[in-house]
Amino acid sequence: MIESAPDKAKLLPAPESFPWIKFAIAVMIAAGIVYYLFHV
Amino acid sequence: MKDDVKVWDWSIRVFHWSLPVLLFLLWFSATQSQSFDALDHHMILAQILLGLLIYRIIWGFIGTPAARFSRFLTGPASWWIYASALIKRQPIHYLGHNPLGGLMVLVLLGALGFQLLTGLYTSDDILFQGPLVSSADRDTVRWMSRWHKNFFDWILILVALHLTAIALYKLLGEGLVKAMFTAKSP
Repeated sequence: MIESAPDKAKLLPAPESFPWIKFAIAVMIAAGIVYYLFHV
Repeated sequence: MKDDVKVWDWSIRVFHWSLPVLLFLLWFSATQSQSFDALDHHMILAQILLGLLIYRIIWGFIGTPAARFSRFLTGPASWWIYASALIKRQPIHYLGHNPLGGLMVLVLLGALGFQLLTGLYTSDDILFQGPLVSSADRDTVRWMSRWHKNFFDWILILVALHLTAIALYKLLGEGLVKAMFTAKSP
């Protein structure tokens, strides 16, 4: 699939658009699994 | 370049550059260090790597567009078309991972996952053991321990392949290393 200009524009993440909530969820799940495996 | 587009979010770049650092430190703590605490350090580093890997897998489903598996995991037809164009020195340009790059991501994540999984069941029969050793039988622990020790060589081969591909792309005019620092894909 060759990216067209509109495709590129769709991908352009403005700095403020970083999905912090999703990031926090991913980090918490990862940390929880590691903690469970190594410390419980 | 005027046409550069920001593709890789900061967390992907941190994840990416953490891997060589952690792999080196894990290898060093397991095989080179003479320190008595070396395997303690190995276990801590392994926890960090496991956390990063789990994060990356989750991010592959809910993360920014270029990080998502659905965007770069294709099939044999795409690999073949892309490889054919590459052989003709007319690479098809993708924003983010190309089909072969996406395949390599899958292979590398799988290899790291296997190494971490075997590490969870690895024991040196003296002082150290992975956190899941007590839940497995002796044959499983022996099998996992052997693979954990030997599979690192395969990871090194994959790393060499990855670096070779980056060098080849550089010859074709695509600076992938810079993109992973600046987030911008040409």
